[in-house]
This record gives sequence, structure tokens and C-alpha cells, in this order.
Amino acid sequence: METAHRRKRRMDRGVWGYLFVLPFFVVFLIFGLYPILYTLFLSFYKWDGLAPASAVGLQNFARLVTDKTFYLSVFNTFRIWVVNFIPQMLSALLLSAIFTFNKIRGMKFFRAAYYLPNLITAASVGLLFNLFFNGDKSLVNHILVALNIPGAPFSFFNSGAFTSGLVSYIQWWMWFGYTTVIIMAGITAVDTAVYDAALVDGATKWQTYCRITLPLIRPTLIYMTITSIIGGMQLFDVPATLTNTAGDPRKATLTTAMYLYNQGFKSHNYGYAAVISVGLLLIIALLSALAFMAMQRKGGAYDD
Amino acid sequence: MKKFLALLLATAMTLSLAACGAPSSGTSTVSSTAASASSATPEELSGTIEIWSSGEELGRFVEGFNKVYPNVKVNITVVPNADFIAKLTPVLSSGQGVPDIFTGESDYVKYLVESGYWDDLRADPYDVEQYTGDIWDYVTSVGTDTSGAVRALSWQASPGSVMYRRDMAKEVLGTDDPTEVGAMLSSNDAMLDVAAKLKEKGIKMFASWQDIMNMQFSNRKQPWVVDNKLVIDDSMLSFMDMAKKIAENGYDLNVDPWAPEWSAAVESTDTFCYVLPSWGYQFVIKPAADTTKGQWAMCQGPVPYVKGGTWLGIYKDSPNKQLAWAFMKYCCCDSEAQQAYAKEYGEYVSLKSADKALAEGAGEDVLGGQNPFAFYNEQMTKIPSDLMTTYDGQINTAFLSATKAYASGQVSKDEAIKTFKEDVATAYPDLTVE
Amino acid sequence: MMTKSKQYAGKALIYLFLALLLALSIVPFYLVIVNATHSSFDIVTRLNLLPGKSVADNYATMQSHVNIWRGFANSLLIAVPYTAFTGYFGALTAFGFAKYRFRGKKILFALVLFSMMIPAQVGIIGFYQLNLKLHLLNSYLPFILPGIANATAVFFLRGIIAQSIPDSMLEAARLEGCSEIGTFNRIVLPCVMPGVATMCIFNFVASWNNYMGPLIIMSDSKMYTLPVMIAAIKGLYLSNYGAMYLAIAISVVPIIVVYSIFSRYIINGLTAGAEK
Repeated sequence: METAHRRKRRMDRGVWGYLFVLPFFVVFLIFGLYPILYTLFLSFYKWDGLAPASAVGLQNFARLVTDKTFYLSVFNTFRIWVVNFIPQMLSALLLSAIFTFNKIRGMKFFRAAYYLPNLITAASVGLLFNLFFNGDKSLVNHILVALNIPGAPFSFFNSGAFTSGLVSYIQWWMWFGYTTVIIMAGITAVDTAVYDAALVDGATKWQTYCRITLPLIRPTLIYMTITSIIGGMQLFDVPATLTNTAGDPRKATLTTAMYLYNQGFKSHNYGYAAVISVGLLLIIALLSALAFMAMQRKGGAYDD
Repeated sequence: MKKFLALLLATAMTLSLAACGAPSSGTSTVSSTAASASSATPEELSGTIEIWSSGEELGRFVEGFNKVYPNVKVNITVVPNADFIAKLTPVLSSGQGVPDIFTGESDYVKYLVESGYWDDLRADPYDVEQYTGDIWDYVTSVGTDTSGAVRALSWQASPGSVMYRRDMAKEVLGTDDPTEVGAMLSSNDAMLDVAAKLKEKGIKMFASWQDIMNMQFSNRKQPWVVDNKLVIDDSMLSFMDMAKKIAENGYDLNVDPWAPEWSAAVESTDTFCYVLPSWGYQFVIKPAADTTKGQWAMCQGPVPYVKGGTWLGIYKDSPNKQLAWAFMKYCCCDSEAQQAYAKEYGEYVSLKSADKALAEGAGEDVLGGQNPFAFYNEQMTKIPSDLMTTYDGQINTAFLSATKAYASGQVSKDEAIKTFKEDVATAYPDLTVE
Repeated sequence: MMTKSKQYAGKALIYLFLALLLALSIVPFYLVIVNATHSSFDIVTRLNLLPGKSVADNYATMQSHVNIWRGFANSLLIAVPYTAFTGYFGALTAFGFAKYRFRGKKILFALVLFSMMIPAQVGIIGFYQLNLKLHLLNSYLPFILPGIANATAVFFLRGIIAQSIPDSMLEAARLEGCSEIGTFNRIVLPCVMPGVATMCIFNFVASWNNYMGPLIIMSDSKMYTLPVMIAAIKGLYLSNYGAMYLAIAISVVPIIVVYSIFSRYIINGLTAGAEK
């Protein structure tokens, strides 16, 4: 009798699993699915936004496969992301280590200050940094000239490397505080008895951090990496406002989202914009899968 | 669960296909009362009209409009220009919630004009042909589609000029008289000569070489696209050379238009001129001129030109066409209204009679007594016809990028042109690009 | 063992590093606030490091174009319910994924992730049409209801819940007669509050800064949220810089307030475990 009772319990609990996730999927099917399907279906059409759409089968896809600008934009976006992500992860891990293992006066204040850049809209940020660097008498050039740096004043936005690097810097600036908070939230979730045990055993703070904490917050790190890939590959706001959607200089900062926005809303070619979205979706899915597999380990939290 | 998902997918599919494939719906309501209603008095007209505008100027007409039409309520929603098309597109294609009037900036006005979503103003209940005689030609021609239907008008015209500093002209060129200075700027080479002279005295001629692009567009003999083929007019190629010479020799401030330094140069001691259309005076020079009041003047450069502007039209399925036309008429065809507006805001307007009347008035302090309306009136008689196409938006962007790369020395001219052609082909794959 | 001086040097280095990051973080903000107090002319012509005197003028200009407090209210009326939904339903859904076994779980979770990957630009047109058909145009609901299906929160909290809620705790609750939903509300949720608070801050900011959505869905400028108003203030010829910066500054303040409220729940480091 006990076994049957337990079995019934387990079955009931399975139902509860469905019930708990049900609200999410109901709302997703209503609000989330329609725009996605819309984009997918639009990729089979040619539409300029005003005249009726005409079906063109796989024409858009064929064009995408041989589109040099598309591949260039993907490469740009990936490069901007990597140059942003690595410092972001490192600085966040470093800060988390510092804050977890040391008593820092004003820690909460520091952490709040580092989170601030995340609060401001990307559009405002693009505007601000444009003012800092644009022209011979811009803020930064002013300083460089005053310090008698040779070669000043510089034409910063003539350099593709600089402009692309600036976008990466802005992304880092906006997200490193958030990443720190996330990692620290993950660390919080771990039972502190584990640290205490390690420290008592004579491990240094650094060893404890690297060998014990980091592996234990693997799910948090996976979350951070994958959401960063997804957000990073969809980057639009910052480079768009910095370069007025032109992607200058010479398309160095043309991200894929900017390319698709221009194709849709500027060239009035919505079907092709939709197909670029699909292409980007596949690339993001691929990169995320690769990242996930690289970071996953047997017996990890996602194995069930 | 699977079956449910499949059903939902099918429903969503059908919905979106229907949305995509449906041609723009909406029966054109021909108001049978149109003929008789056009004789209704202004007080009798009542209702509300919705307007979407990318700028704030239209709002300035509302007060005056309501004095004549007290019972017509005008709701203006300002939509940021950068996303105007993004906001308009879903609304137009669904046919719901479309404003009665919407504007179109010069970058995409041709796209809207050709789309047919603005009503033909020659037909009932409008009577635009009564007024087109008094409107500067190019304003009407930009608003006219290839079949000859007049679909959009504007309250403004934007002829261009070279706005220069009198004090520097006197010192370096020996005169500050607009006609004489204009004679010295009669060609690209002549401008470069003047630039060299100015440089000897430590003065940079231009705020930015990008300003000149405005002027060069009017120097073309052909538009960007002829018979669906990309055409690069010679004047654009010589513009590229001009840009490079200016950048190489340091004849400008090396800054983008609208950057702080560019705007600040109005008051500087080392920048000679801005090459901008009429709104440039209103929005750049006049607000900033403080110690330089009276030291500015306008003259003609190598060619007279027009650039920019905002047009507006009436939605073809609007239920309030009469009211909308009353407002549009007020802003775009009413000489008294335009004169009052121009007197207060200094903008150059689209009616010849209004501009002629304004030219009689006093000159501007900032311009040392020169009357900008008189100056622009003369320019308007000389400008070439409009060469705008629906492709201009992206082509101009691509061309500016290419010229920037060439002028800053990053690529050779051939490479720049090649990149330009590739970019145009990417932006508009239907065009033939060789 | 480190010598005392080494310890001090280490600490000093740490504080230096923290201070450098602090400067990098704050300087742009400071400039935004300073610019908000200057006239547009000042902003476009020189570098302003100290506050100016044009706040009143900028405020007047700003209000003559848009009603900033109306925009403030709109943004708030959307962001607060949205954030509440993301927190609660995010945790609920994550709990379902983390602690229950049911068929198709892996696929459904992959779908959750997948939904985050498609770029939003073209989809906005579809979003408009959907809300048109649902008669939800020009209302707050299109921006509040999706909070129930916030993939980011689910993704993050699933890992947290899997890590920090041992099955034994749930069994204990069940044995005491707690219902499943009761277990969630009374035991799981309080336990993962730091994670939920973290997600709430993030989602509040995302909702507050959402631009494209409200721009397309709100046909009435009285329903415009702050980001749309800020863009509208800018004007065609950049003549309203001062008013725009003031609007940006006003827009940032409530987010800072919300952050301070939520950060109380983010207990840091070694103290958290003691509660268990």
C-alpha cells in the first residue's frame, strides 16, 4: 500500500511540474510566438512595407548565403563581443573574489556604483561617448593636447579599430557591474559551510576561490556566458547611436542587427531583413550550444 | 499537448500570412458632401484631426489655425525622425490607427510619395491646383509622383547658401559684400583658392567638408538612379576630390556636422563659413551668434542649391479629409499664415507671395542688415529641378561613408567608389550597378 | 603568512583598483547631470565640468514639448507590474524546471532559451499586428503581460534553485502537509530572494529603458514612456540638448531608487548561509 501511495505521489508531482511552467508557456505562445513566426514567415516574402507582399520562396535565403556584408557583420559583432566579454568576465570574477573574501569598507557602495552604467539607455550612452571623441577639440582630444601627447589631436572615428574597440569598451562599461552582481548572487547560493571547511583546512583565499567556488557556481557562469552571447550577437543600440546606423568607419562597427535594421527600415526590404534575423538566430544558437558544451561537465546541474 | 501546439502553430501561420499578403485595405470614402462642404464656413467645420510629425514646426501653426477654424481640434504627435518609418509601417499596412496627416522628411519623402498612401490633392475635395502657382516649383515637384499626382506639400522651402563671416572676408578678401564674395566662390577651384588664402592667415574656411555635400547634390545633371541603373554624376566625383583636398590641407575643422565643435564654430575666430540651407541659418547660426552678431552674411557658392525639408500629406483613407485639408491649406497655401509664421520663427516658407512680402521687411541683425528672404528669393529662381529618387536615403549614406574613407586617406579613390557601388547593390539589390 | 606591510600593500592595491573602476563608472553620469543644468548652446559648444544655471530653462523647454511626469507615470505603471511578474513567475517556472520531472522538460527548456535568440527588430511589426488583433494597442498590457514569460529570469533562477534548495528540504515540507504551491510560496521563494531580487533589478531596468516597443504600440503621445519622450525632445536639429539631458537625468533617478530598495535583498557572501 505504501508503494502505491508513493507512486501516486510521484505522478501527482509530475503534473505539478507542468502546472508550474504552464503560465510561462501560455503567455509565451500568445505574446512571444507570434512575432517569431511573423519574422520566420516574412523571410519567404518580398515586402517594402507599403505595397502588398509577394512570395519569393527561398530567394532571400539564397541571397543571404552569398552575402559578404552579412558575414562581415557577423564577424564584426563577434569581435566586438569577444573584446567586451573577456574583460567583463575577468573583472567581474576578480571583483567577486575581492568582495567575497575580503572585508571591504563601502562594498555595497562600490557595487552599487558599478551597477550604475547598466541603468542608462544605450542611446544616451552612444550620444555621450560621441561627444567625448568627435572632432579635434573634443573632450578627450582637449586632454591629450593639454598633456602634449604626440600626434594629438586624433581623428578617433576614422579608425575602425578604435571605433570598434570603443563599442566594446562601452559594452564592458555597461555590463561589468551587472555581471559582478550576478556572480555574487550565484556565490551566495552556495552553502558557505563549503568555504569555511576549505579555509579551515588551510587553503588560501585564492585557492578556495579557484578550486571550490568557481566550479560550484558553474550554472551561474553558464548563464552569464550564454546570455552574453545572445545579447552580444544582437547588439544594436550602442553602435547605431554612435555611428548614426552607418556602421562607420568603413563598416567596422556594422553589427548584424544594424545591417538587418537598415535593410528593413531604410532599404524597405523587410523580407530580407527577416531572413537576416533567421540567419543570426541560427548563428546564436550554434554559438550558445558550443559554449554550453564547453562549459558543461558530467554531473552538472543541467543533466536531468 | 502536441496537438494543441500544432493547432496553435497553424493558427499563427494563417494569421501572419494573412497579415503579410493582404494588400492595404480600406475603402476610399468619397465624401459625397465634398462639393457642397467646400463652401462651408470655417466655423462650421468641426472635428479632430490626428497628425504625426517628425519635428515640432507644425505645432507652431496650430494657434493661428484655430483662430480661423475654432472648432477643429488638432492633435500632433511628435515621432522621432530616426524611427518614423518604423512606426508608420505597421500602422499603414494594417490600416488601423493611421493619422489623418503624416509628414515625410526629404530622406524618405519620395518613398512615401510613390507609395500612394498620400491622397492625390488634385482630386476632390481638394483643390490644390488653385495654389500650386504660388508655391515654389521644386516644393510641388518633390511632392509629385511619377504619374503626375500631387501628393504632398510643404510649409517650407530650403534653398541654400554659403554663410560667411564678414570680418574675415574683409580682412582676407578685401570685401564683405555678398555679390563680390560670391563671385570669388564661383567654382570648386575658386573655393579652394580662397581656402588657401584664408589658411595663410590661420583661418579654416569650412566648418566641415561634409557641409558641401548638400550643395553638390544640386550640381548634378542626373539623379542617382536612371532607368533602374545607378548613375554617378561627375559632380559627385569632383566632390570627392574636393573633400580630399579640404581634409588634406586642413581647410576645415575635421569634425562631423552637429558635433559640439562644429556648432561652436559660429563664434570662433578661425572658421570662415558654413555651407547650409536656409534652416542652417535658423538653427545653427542665429541661435549661436552672440559676439558675432552683424558679422555674418549669405552669398551664393559655385551653384545655387536646395537640400532637406519636410513634406506632409493626407492619408488616402482618412475619414477627416476635409478637416485635414483645411489644416494643410493653412500651413502650405495660405500666404498670410506663412508670413505670420515666418515673422516669428524666421523660417523660409514655400509660398512665393509670402517670401516676396517678407523680403520687403527689415534685414537681420545677425546678418548685418541683410534680408535673408530677399537673398533666398533670388536663389530660388536659379535652382535646378529636383533630382530626388526613392533610393536617395541609403545611397547618400553610402556615398558619405565612401567619401569619408577616401578623404581621410584610408583608401584610394577607386577603392572608395568600388565600395560605394557594392554598398548600393547591397542596399538596393533591384538596381543595376556596374 | 604575509607580512603586515605586504598586507597593507595588497589592500591598498585593491582599493586603488576599486577606485579606478568607480571613477570610470561615475564620470559619464556626472557629465549627464552637469549637462542637464546647462543651456543647449553651452552643451554644444564647450566642455562643461561644473553645474550651470539653466535647469529652470531646460525644464520649461522640456515641459513645453512633452509632459515628462506623464511619461514618468507611464513608465512606472508598466515597469512595476512587469517586474513583479518576472520575479514571481520566473521563480515559479524555474522551480518547475528545477525540481520536477516531466516529459518534454528538456525540449521545453530549450524552447525557453531559443525564444531569447531571435533579434527583435523585424518582430516588432508582428508584435504590433498581434496587439492590434488583441485590441491591446495604446495600452500598458502588451508590456506587462509578457513579464510572465521572462526567459532570462527562468534561466538564471533554475540554476540557483537547483544549487541551493536541497530535495530534503522539499520532502520535509511535504511531510508536514504543505501543498506544492505552498512549499513554493513559503519555503522556496524566500530562499532564493537574492536571486529573484537580482533579476527584478535587471528586468525593471529593461522595462524602464524599453524604447522600440512603446514607440510602435502607443499611438497616443500621452501614453509615451520616458525613452520615447527623450527621443522626441531631441528634435530634428538638436536644438534641445539641455532639455534632453534633463529628461535623461530624471529618467535615471527612479532606477537608482529601485536598485537601492532591491539591493537590501541581495545579501552578500558569507552571511547568507547562516539563515539556512
